[in-house]
Amino acid sequence: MTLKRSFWDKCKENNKRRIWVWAVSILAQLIMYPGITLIYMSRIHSRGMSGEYYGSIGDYQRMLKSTAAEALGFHTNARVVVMLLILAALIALQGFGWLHDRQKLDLYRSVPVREKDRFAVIYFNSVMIWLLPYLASQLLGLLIAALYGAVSGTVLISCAASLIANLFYFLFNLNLFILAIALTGNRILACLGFAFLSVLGEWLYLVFEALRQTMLDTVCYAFSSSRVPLSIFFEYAESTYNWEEQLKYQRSGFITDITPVLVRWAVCAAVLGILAYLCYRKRPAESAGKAIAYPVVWPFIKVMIVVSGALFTANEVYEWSEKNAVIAFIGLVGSAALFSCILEVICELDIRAAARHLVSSGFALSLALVIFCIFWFDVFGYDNYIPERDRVESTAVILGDYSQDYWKYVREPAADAEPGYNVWNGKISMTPYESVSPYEYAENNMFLTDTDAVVALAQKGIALNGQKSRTDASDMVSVEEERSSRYVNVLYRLNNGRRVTRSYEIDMRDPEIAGILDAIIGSKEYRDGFYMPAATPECLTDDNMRLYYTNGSVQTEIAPSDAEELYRAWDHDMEKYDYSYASTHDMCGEIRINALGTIRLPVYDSFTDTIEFLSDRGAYYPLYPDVDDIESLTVTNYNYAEEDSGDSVAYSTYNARSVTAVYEDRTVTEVYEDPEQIRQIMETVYPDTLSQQWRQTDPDDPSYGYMDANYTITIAFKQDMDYPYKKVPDSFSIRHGQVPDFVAEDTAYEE
Amino acid sequence: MIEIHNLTKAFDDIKAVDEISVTIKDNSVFGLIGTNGAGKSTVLRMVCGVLKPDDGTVAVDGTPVYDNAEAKKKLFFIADEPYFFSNANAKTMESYYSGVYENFNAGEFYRYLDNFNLDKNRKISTYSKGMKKQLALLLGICAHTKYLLCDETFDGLDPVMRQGIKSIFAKEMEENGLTPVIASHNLRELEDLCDHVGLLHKGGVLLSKDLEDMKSNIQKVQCVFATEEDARKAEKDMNIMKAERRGSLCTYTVRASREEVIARFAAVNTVFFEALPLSLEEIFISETEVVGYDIKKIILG
Repeated sequence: MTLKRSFWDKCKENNKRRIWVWAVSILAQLIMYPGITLIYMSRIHSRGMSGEYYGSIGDYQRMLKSTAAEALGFHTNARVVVMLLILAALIALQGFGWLHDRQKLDLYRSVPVREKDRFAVIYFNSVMIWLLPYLASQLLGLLIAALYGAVSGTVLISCAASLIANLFYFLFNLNLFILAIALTGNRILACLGFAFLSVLGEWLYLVFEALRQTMLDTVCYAFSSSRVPLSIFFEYAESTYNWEEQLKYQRSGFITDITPVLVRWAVCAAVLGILAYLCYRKRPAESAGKAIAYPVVWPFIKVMIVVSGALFTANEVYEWSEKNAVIAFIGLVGSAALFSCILEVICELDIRAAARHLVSSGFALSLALVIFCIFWFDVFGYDNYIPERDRVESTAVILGDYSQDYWKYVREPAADAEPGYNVWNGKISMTPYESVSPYEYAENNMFLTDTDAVVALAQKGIALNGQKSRTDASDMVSVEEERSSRYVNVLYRLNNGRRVTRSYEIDMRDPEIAGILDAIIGSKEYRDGFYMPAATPECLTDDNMRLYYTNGSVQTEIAPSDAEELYRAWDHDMEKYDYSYASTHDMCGEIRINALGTIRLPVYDSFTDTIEFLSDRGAYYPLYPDVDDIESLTVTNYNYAEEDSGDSVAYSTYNARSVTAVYEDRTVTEVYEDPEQIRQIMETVYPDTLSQQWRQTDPDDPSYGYMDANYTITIAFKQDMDYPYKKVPDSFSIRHGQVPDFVAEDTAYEE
Repeated sequence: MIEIHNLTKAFDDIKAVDEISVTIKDNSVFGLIGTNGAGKSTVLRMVCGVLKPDDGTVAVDGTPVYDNAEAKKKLFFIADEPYFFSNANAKTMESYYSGVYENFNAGEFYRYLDNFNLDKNRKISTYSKGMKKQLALLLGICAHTKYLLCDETFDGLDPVMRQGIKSIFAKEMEENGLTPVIASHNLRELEDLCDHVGLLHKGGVLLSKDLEDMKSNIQKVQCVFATEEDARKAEKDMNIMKAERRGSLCTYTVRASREEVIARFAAVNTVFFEALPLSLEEIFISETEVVGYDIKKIILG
């Protein structure tokens, strides 16, 4: 306690010794906010003045406002994060660095000032050093924005919200740094301690996730990975970006969305502040100049770093060595020893101290070994776990490959909201919806209640996994095995609200798989969760939506107003659809709903309602053109042998194989005009662009889904034919294994 | 009164202060003597509340001092390397201490600065080591605390300055009841300053006595006896702490009052007799030799 002076006098006195930090804070924030605002505004203004760069005056004004909100609000780039971190570090070190200096300690600790009062004064000033220049800079920035007519409600809300977010983030980092200072004895170690504490949560998460991913076979990352971040350090940039975006579109829900995160940050900052204060109060003066102020915590820190570092290294080595456990163990022991030595050297600032505290080193090594073995031997049976059926409320299943895009309509602009605009390279675009992954979509929209089928599928996956574990990992997997295996991601929603996810590999050649998949894929619940229109009917009425039908060669547009009726017809036809059907029938076309992405609804010859509807609208064309309309077929054989280079074959989304590189030109082209030959060739072709998702299980099956990438077909239609196919003469490929003998002979390459 | 009872402090495995007990009486100059590493600074840092004792107590006028701002109001600590704020001048430091010590007398401080020819506007970083120590002492004196703890503060001060500070001490002791506690590794520096001396060695107190008591109870005598019989008579029943003989010249360090010694030697037949004054150094040599230490090694190296 200052005996003669008030709190404000003490703050003033303290600030006399913090002038340079004030100067740095003022300068940095002046550049960051009004400086950058001025640069952005003047750039947009000069572009807007010089012509029609932004399209219209309205767009120009919106651009100004959007940019002002960005420059003065959450400022969605790394500059603010870096500045906040550096300022927090500088302010904390300058304010509390005396704890590391014996001379200063002798002065400060011997004078009649209560420690809590000294902490309060330095801490209050530390916050003010950041906050007051921030507020002044924001005000100045707003004045500049106002001069350009760029101040709006969104800009003001953005400024206010970012003030709170930045304040909590600053306090979090400031308190963390003070804690690091109080726990250590010199500035370098305080900085290292801050870095360690900042990333500790995420680092441990990363290590254990890496182990899970490497050691366990059924870990599923597909479904929502939303979790409470273990490091606000990393969360800030992501959250502020999302908030900035959200603010542009939906001001009404904004407060509700950001409040829980801000409260969490505030709580974290407060907890850290309390910890920092306690460590400050209890810190022995003699720890100045040492590495660690509280020797009792050192073994815990050391064990944490050594164990996590050794596990991470062992995991990396395990992967690099193609799952060689012996090498992984050597890596684990070696890295544990190395990390122990390095930490002791850092702690003692003496290279000779490398072999000190062998007990804690030994403990850390043992713990690392135990954890490694837990993962390696799957001690807790993670891979074999299937929830009990009566505990499963519903499931979501995502099978194999994708040809679907998903999005959600979350940003219907509120009446009072600024028009939502994103700025990319000076251009403006509106995005009233956002893309979601198939997994996120399924998680929110697919609710399968036939648990038996899903459990049966899981059991198949576990059995296959067990079978593979018994074989040597280094054994080569045959092409057939590779092609016939599919990964299935399963989300179990349990009665108690818990969610369990697993990823299984299944063998499509297994005769029981078809029955299981029929029960899953053929269900209405699966269809509604997989195809967007059921759960997201807005996609059919979206103003931006375009509706098409394609048979793989010809694409016809259908009026958007027909979308709902067409979907109903298609949905009715889909009653006939299941895995067995899809794996034995070729699609004759597909309906494409385009908005943010493309929704593909398969159409088969048996889909009478759909085909009738399409025919009525003049949108339907058969899969193949009439052979009599074909003048000639030009077949090109690249004569590419698969063994030439594995790198040259790529599998596309549609399971068509494509040749990406041929080192020697062996191309042979043959033109066929004989109607019989044309008929024979046309019987073997299929459009490249139609999905054959379930048609690739057995290469010997005539309906095997892969196209033969060696051959391309170009159709020349007769001159008097008025036919849409004419526009796309090369949309077909020959199915793998069905190339007519005469074609193979005619187009074979001869040395 | 500062009461130090069984004070113990260890730094890692090294015991810097080991169960020392000393009482520092008010209104006297207490000298804390010991070699480097004897624990002087550690004791002072515990007395002023910088360090927390591992064991034992420090009470300033009956009040524990660690983490107690009220007790610290009575103390001013001048470290062996006093810290001054970066870019500070004497005025800056006065401003700080004025805010911290309620009795700080700024006018007196500036008068002393003039007397000691210290420029109040000059950056302290440009002061010499001695000037910094003077400034620290003046700040301490002008804080008008009851106790002024000086750690090696007089080391390096020139005799004129020492005399000046000594005069101020005397004035402050008389007017304000100041009790300076001065730690030093150099006996000779404390000789003319201290009333009471505590000798620290390897973290423990070897002795703690009033200087006057020590001086009045130890006498040094040089004499030449007429006969060996006279020598034996004189030595008989005398508490001789040290005896040397060079030829016929005998030198004794005797624990007794001056009057007793003169009376004893007057009773025997001497060719030459002289009672010599003892320096603080000699008193310490004698006192510590009695308890088995070679003070020359401890203090004088």
